[in-house]
Amino acid sequence: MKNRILLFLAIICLKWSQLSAQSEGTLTFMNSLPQVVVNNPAFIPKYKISIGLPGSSIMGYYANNAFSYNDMVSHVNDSVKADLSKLNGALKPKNYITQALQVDLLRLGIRINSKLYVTLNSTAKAYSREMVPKDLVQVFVNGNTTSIGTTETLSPKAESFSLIETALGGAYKVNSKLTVGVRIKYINGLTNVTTESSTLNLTTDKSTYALTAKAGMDVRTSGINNFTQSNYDLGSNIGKYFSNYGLAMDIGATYKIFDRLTVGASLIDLGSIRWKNNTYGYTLDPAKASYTFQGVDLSKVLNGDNSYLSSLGDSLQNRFKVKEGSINSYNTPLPGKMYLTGMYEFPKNFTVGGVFYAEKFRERLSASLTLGVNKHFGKVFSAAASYSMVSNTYNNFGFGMSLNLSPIQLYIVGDNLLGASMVKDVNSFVSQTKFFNVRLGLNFVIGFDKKDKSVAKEKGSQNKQGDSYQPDEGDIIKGKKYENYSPKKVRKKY
Amino acid sequence: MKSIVGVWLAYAFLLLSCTFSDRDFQIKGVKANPTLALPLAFGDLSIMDLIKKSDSAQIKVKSDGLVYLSYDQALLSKDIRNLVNIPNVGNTITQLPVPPGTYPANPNDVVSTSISNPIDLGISPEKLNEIGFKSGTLTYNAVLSPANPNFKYAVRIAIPEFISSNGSSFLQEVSGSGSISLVGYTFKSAVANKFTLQLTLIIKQNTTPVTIPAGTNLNTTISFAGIDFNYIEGFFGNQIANPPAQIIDIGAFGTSFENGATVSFAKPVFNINVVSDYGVPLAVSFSKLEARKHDGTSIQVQTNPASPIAITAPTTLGTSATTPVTVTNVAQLVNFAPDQFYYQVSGHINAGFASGKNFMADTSQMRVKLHIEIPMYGQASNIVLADTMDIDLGDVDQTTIDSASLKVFVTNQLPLDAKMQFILTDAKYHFIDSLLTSSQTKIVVGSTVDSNGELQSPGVVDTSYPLVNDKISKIFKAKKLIVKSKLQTSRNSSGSPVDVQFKSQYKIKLNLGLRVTFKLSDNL
Repeated sequence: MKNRILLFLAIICLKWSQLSAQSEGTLTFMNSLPQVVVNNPAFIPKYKISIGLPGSSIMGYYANNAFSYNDMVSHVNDSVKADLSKLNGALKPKNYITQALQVDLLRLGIRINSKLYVTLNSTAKAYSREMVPKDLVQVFVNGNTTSIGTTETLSPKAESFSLIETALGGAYKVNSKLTVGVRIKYINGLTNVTTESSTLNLTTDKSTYALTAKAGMDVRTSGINNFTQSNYDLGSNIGKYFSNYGLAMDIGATYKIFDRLTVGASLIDLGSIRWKNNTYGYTLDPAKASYTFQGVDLSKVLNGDNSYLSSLGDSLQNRFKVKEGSINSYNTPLPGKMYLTGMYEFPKNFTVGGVFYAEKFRERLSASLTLGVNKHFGKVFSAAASYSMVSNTYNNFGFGMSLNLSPIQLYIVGDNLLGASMVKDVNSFVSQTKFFNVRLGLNFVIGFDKKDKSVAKEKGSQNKQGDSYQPDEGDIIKGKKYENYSPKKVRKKY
Repeated sequence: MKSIVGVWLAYAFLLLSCTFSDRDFQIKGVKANPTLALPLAFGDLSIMDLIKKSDSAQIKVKSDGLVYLSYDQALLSKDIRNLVNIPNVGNTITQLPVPPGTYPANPNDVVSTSISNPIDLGISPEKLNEIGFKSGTLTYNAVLSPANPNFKYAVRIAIPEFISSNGSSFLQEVSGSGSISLVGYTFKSAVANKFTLQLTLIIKQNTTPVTIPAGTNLNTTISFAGIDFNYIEGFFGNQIANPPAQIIDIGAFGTSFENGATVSFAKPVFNINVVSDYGVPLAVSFSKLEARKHDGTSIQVQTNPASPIAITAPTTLGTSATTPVTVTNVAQLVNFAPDQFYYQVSGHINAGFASGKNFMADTSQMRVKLHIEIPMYGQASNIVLADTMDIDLGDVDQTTIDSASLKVFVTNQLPLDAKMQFILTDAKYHFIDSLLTSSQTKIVVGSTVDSNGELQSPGVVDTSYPLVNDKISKIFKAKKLIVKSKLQTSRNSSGSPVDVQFKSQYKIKLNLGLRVTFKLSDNL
């Protein structure tokens, strides 16, 4: 059994050492924020009512599973030079660079009753992920000699979309242990680039140096080709950008295993978008785009075929000519995510826990693990600290804090924020960073759910309804507790 | 509350106290040392690709695949036929006397006076007894002197030796002037070159009487012109024909065999056949029959029988007879690797004869046929192939190349070793340097062969030759690249040359590649 556990841990470590993902582990600990539901629709924030206005909250995200800026450069005589060899050494076989940006257009959360919490939000999202194979960089840095006799995979891939998501969700307490949540999302896609398939394989023959290239491509775009046209008037065509519809769903649950330990699981963004507007494709037929260049054909030269070289160029051009043009509508999936959480609540509203995150998108599975703590300092201030293993990095110290000056709540949370905060020299942080996210903004919140479990326990009293999510009336509140992870207690209304 | 505000303030202070300098993000340069492996050239070549294309029509393959060069040329000589010319026969004037008196009206033609003239065709030295006329015209003119318009007359022309196709002799009645074609007639005469011209006065029927004074003649002029023959028989005389010289170019090897090359072809073939259509004793003399090189050297072709060679004559008109002539020094000739064969013949007919019965048609000819086969079977050394190509790398920054090596991968079924060298010259072919060191030039190793000279196992070379940096730098100065190969056929295990066969199915699979390490550095 011990060996199996070790094996499982090894696999998990290997997995997230290879990959990065769009995770927000620290946010999971910040149940003072209405945005906590982003990671699990079954989470119920501390405030009964929360409102977010357009632009009041934003999220930025960057992840690179392979290299930082420092891996690309060397300092030589007080100047910075690109160091391609160093970069090549840092690269993984597949290098994913992911950026994301989210802006809340509207966020509303209301606790309807003791069992039901509903949310309505509209969020503008942009996401892009580029995959650069190491082989591609290696060809430029080291040439093709390091892979003679093998096949180099040179084709980059890109995924990108922008959309507006409007979601209606709810969390329902089935009983004192189980809470389930669901969120239905209606999506307006704006722009998209998706790589259905892309191959560019280069093989250098060991004996002859003959170069064999095999390529194939099926790249689809929506809403982008318009901008390559001169005199395109976006203003008069803006309506068409809302013709790409999609549906998605988030589902989640939390379960109180015992009094202080709560686990949760969620699947986020299960859905797809159908792209209809300005769909434009770029294709390369793999059956045709294949050629082996062995050099100049001496037999043709000796036979006086003077047009051979020019025909060779034409032949190559024809074989590898990318065909582009309008295409039919198409579907793309959303990056599906999974959160597994475990939280243990200590007395005095102090919670420790872990978050395992996985994302599956376009045949790529990525994962991360965050360990963190959360503490509510009265109802005014909440803070969280975390440590994340993500994006092949192990030095991500995050934190989050919210200043709850009801009805205004200011907050900032991020998985690598502590590192950024603690350095005096931003340069060194930026240079070393492979992973960074931050979510910050302002919420309007009303009705803080305050309760200190330890106090309740000391008193030995029982909640009237056996509901762990409501504080007992008249309890001395010394701190806050994590809503979903608090032990079963006798419920008391405010 | 104070502590909370303090935390926020502390955090704000931390953020504000952070420093940022964009100097760390101003990349001033980039450097890289990529090493590229690139294919330069490839080929799956047979011996036929290597033989110079100017002789491609002569490249042939035997049933067992052995490649050989086959040259055929025939000297088509009609010079003997042209020895015979039938001259024109000028005007033969004959006065046919018209008997004087008064001629009553007569209802029928009346045969009057007649004269016979022997005519010599004027042919020499030929003595022809039979001539089939292919062309020729008899021209006549008959004039009454003094003129008398009331007198009706004609001339009957008869030549007994001119026989028509139906067997009748030439007989024509004419008046005034005109011409008659001789086509279809055959001159047949027991007396060579001669025939009889018979002219007879015909007094034509007349409804009125006419008086002829004394001294009246019918002056008749006859001539023959444009006579040519379909065939002739007789004695053609003791004559000599001298056709122009002929040349067979051997271009397959170009200049490869110059500059000290030694070659030895096994089983070469050199045939001479003289085909004669002439029914006449003929002796052919080769006044020149030799293999030549461009450098002026030559070797005589030795024949059996030796020149002059008596040529067999056909027994009947319209047939041919062939006289084979053996070349006794074939190997010497072919191994000489000539650039051309040169020959000049003369044909001597009826040598030593004063009479005889000869024949020929106007289409008859003598054909001196030469057939040469050079099989790609033998041994050779010091064969030099060279080709020049323009290069201009002046625009390339030579400092970006750190090192380079030439990758050679050759699987050679041809029994041929090759040393190659790449010679750099300027635009005026002034030597700059050679790209390979002397130890690097053995790029192609020939196959091993069995005792029959056939492929046993291919020669394989799979090697990288590092190029000396100093030589690489000279590539950028060069304007011409001369690719020079020095070839020799495979040797046996003890290093001695053996006869090897080049068959069409034997290939040399050659791949040349270049491995270059660049030294890229750029200040931005």
